Amino acid sequence: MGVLALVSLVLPLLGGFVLGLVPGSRRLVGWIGAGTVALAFWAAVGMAFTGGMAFPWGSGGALTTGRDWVFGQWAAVGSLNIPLGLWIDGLSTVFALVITGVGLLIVVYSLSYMAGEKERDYRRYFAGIDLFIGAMLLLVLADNFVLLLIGWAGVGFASYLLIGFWYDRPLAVVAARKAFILNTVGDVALILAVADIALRTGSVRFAQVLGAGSPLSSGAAGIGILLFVAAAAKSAQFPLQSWLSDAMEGPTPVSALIHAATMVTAGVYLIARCALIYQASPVAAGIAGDLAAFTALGAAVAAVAAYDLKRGLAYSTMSQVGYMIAGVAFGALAAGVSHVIMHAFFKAVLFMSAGIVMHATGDERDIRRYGGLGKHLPLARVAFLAGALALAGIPPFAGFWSKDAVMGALLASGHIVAYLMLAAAALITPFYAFRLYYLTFGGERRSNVPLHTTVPLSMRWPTATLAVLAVVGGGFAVALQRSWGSGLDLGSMAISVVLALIGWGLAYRLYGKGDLASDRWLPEPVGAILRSEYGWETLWHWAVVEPAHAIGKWVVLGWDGSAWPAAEGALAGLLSLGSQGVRLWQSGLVRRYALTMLWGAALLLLWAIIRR
Amino acid sequence: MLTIVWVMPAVGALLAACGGVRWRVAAPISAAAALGVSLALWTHAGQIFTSIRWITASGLDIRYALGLSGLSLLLICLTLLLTVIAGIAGWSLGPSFLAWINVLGASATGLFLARDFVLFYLFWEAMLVPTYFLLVGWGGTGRRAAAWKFLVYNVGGSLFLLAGIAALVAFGVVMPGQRVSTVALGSGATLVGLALFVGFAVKTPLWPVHGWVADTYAELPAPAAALVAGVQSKAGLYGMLAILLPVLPQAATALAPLMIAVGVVSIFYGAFAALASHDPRRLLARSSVSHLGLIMVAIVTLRSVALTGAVVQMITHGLVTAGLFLVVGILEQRLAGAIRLQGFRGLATQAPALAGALMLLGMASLGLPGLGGFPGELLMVVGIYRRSVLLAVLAVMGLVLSAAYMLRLIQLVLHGPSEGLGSVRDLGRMDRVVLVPLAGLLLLIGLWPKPLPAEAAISVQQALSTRHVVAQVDQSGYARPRRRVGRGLGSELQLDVQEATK
Repeated sequence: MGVLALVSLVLPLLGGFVLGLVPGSRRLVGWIGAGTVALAFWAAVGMAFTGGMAFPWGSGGALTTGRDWVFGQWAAVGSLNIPLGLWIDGLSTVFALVITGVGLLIVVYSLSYMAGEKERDYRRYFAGIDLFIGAMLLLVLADNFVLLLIGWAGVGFASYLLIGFWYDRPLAVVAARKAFILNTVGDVALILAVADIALRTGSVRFAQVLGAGSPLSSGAAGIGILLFVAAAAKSAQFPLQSWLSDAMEGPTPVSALIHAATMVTAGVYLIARCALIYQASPVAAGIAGDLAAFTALGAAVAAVAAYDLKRGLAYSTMSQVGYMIAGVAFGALAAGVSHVIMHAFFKAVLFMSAGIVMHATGDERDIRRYGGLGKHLPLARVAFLAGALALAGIPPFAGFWSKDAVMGALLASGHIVAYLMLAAAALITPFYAFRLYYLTFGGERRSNVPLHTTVPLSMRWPTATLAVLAVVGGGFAVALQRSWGSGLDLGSMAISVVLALIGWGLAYRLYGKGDLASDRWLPEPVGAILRSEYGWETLWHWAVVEPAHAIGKWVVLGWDGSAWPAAEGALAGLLSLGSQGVRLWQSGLVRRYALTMLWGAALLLLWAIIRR
Repeated sequence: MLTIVWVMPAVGALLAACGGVRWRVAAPISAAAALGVSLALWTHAGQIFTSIRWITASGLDIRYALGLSGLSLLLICLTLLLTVIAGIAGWSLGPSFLAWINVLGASATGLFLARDFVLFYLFWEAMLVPTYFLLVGWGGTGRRAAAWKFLVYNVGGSLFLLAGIAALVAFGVVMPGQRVSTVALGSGATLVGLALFVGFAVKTPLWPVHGWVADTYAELPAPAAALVAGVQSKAGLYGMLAILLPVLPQAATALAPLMIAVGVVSIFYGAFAALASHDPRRLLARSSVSHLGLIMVAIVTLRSVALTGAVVQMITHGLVTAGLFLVVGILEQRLAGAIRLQGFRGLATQAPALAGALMLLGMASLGLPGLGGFPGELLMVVGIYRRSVLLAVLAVMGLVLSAAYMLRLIQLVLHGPSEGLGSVRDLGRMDRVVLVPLAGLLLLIGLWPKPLPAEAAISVQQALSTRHVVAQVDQSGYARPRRRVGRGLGSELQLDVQEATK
């Protein structure tokens, strides 16, 4: 089983290196890109069938059923041992299946979607995707925090490369940099958490740090908060959320894979993996869970006013990831993890339909210039509808089973504040989802740019597959929850269904005709504030970015440029005063000075020796 | 045996200098041969020692003593590798350039081998000469002023070092490695420690004595800048680790707040200045100040994890900085002149391999996990955290800033629209020969760093071990100047064996 896990993560990494270094034809690139991911998926399925699906947590959130497979040593310093090893249990297997399964579908979709790129860029794209999948597998399969950190940063780097894939577009370049720097904040929080864990437990291995009998009962709050900062950066949660909407500058399959289905759920993985810490510290769990629920609500509200289809979906991702983190932080582990799977299905299909729409309209992302596309793009319409129904939480579509499970668990465990925020978000979610749907596919076309309605086969099949999963995939969620031992709560289900139907009904009432003018119910200043993400971006710019550059300028111009030379000049002046008497030596030849100084040094040395 | 390691590149320099163009190949080959010898000694660190009486007068015992600790070995391998690489990269600059490069390599190697204070100081001074002549002979338009500044700062720093070393010699202290001896100079110890610290800080350089570094790195030809930036800064840190800590542990403790303050200010001063730099070379120089400040902080925390991390980071910082200077040199060559970081350049379209090299080196520099810059950083932060949470937080803030300025460099050079750019040649074969080993090593160290901390372990223990000795002495009330006890090499070997078997 360990070998399978290793194979699954080494193959895509190897594929990524080969694609990055060796030129090849498009055909070959496609085969390597998709082939390695397919093999990785096969290995992940193998892991699941060889018993890697057991419920990972015991009492108090300690890891109990994981298998630790060590194949080497990364480094050892004193008593701190950092192995090269993999950790296989239900959590890592579920994530590996999602990453490779949804990953495979999106890679196949990309074969056609990216076909318009130059051969070299085509290769670069698949190198990035393979690197990402390999790093993401390392993240979820690592058996210690340091390897996890390497995967963690690896997916961030791949995400940076792919957001900035079209590096000749300044917007994409800036978005990539922003994503990288905000993620670095998360990385260093994780490094600090590792330092604290190593200090308290003398180890960085899951088996010792998070296993039964872990010494982490004290000091869990600090570690939990640091881990949440890391998770917030990676999963775009408040207050480190603002990179995700800009990340939509990347190619749409990248948005589907990295910025919806997989990478942004890494924070969920981290918190679920460290359930022990959050169950030991209600403070850390409260901060993580409540902030995530807050993000879920805030992002859902922001999505209501979005004109940019992909940004609207990105806000939706932040919101849904908020559900997951609130769930796992408050101990609803099976519910939170099953929502990761469901979200991967329906959000990927939403992005793929968006990709088909953009393909048809010449990379148009503004829904004000869509309208009436349903007639021309029936597959995209049906797939988007399936995704929207699943996202909205309408039974029996996929999202219902997991989203409701999260909310039901929070209600049952008495986290009322978080529950109320999530319930409000659950009301708004269908509203924005169907607003996007009706304004894109319903009504009349609002642009006269010609459409390219042919959808290549390799884009159609993955989209259709995921659409089916968005419809019936809820079965996986229910099965997982049952096998992991959490039941369904009928009372909470009833509330959720009512909320979802109200939200859908409102959207239908306002936007059912697909008329853009319906947006007038929202006063323009409010809409503008929502589209500017509550002005957070501006605040961040003036509070952090500008001051940093101003300090830099001040240091360079004020200190390095003037104060230091002045001090040097003053010192030199003093020296030359002192050397009035030895003018003879002031020949102006630098080499002479050097020689003099060397001699002086030698004389001093001699003096010291003789004096002794 | 050890003599060969530093004499070989020196002989190569002599051959290149006297033999002219035809013999210039001797320079990189001799350095490569010395590198081979030192790699062969990898498992023998701490076991080899050369000691010959040199000057004995009025109770003095100055020796020609060479020793090889794990730390020395790592730094020597770094030095010789960069000497070879700088030689290949500077091939077209002529035989005397290559000769000076080798002189610099040989003197740095000698410095890391020296186990006698006077010998150490001689190599220390010897390192100044080649840098000065490389600067004057092959520098840019502002070379005169830069060379003058370099010399004033470094000779000034040397004087402090000399004063400190003279005091140590006067009190009969011998260099660790020859034998571990601590000295109780009373309040004078702090003064001596301060003098040593100033000397080492100028060489490193750390704020506030960093004034020479930006000009020097900006004016040196790129291959020489790679060697100087990669190796010379390590001499100062090596001094802190191998001399200041073991010889004057009390002074190191007394001075710790000052040294930490200097390190922390260096981290931020360098990082913010790099953020506002328009010249890539100055950006790299300031980034070096920032990174070296972090290493300084890690050393002063006196935690073995942090010290191990510091050693690892010294090696990878050398590789990364050298690589980045070489890439900047190639860029300047392609764009015919100095580069200003204003507006996008869009070079990635035309020169993908060059773009890949800059990307990898830049990522390694900002400490991306999975690449060479990370293991050292991780260990340093883990160790610093043990001493103080606040210091660790400050240290990682430096890492966030380094991501900001390094991405600025990478993106402004590589990305953005590429219109208006004439054709730019990608990496040539020689460029690849030079860059591939550096990139490969950084990747390898990132994925499997184990050999480096393992090699450094004994040196780190040595640097810290005398603290316990002193602590014991203090507790039992026997604090006295300890002069001329157990002279000879036996005690070093014993200590090594003890440490190795731990």
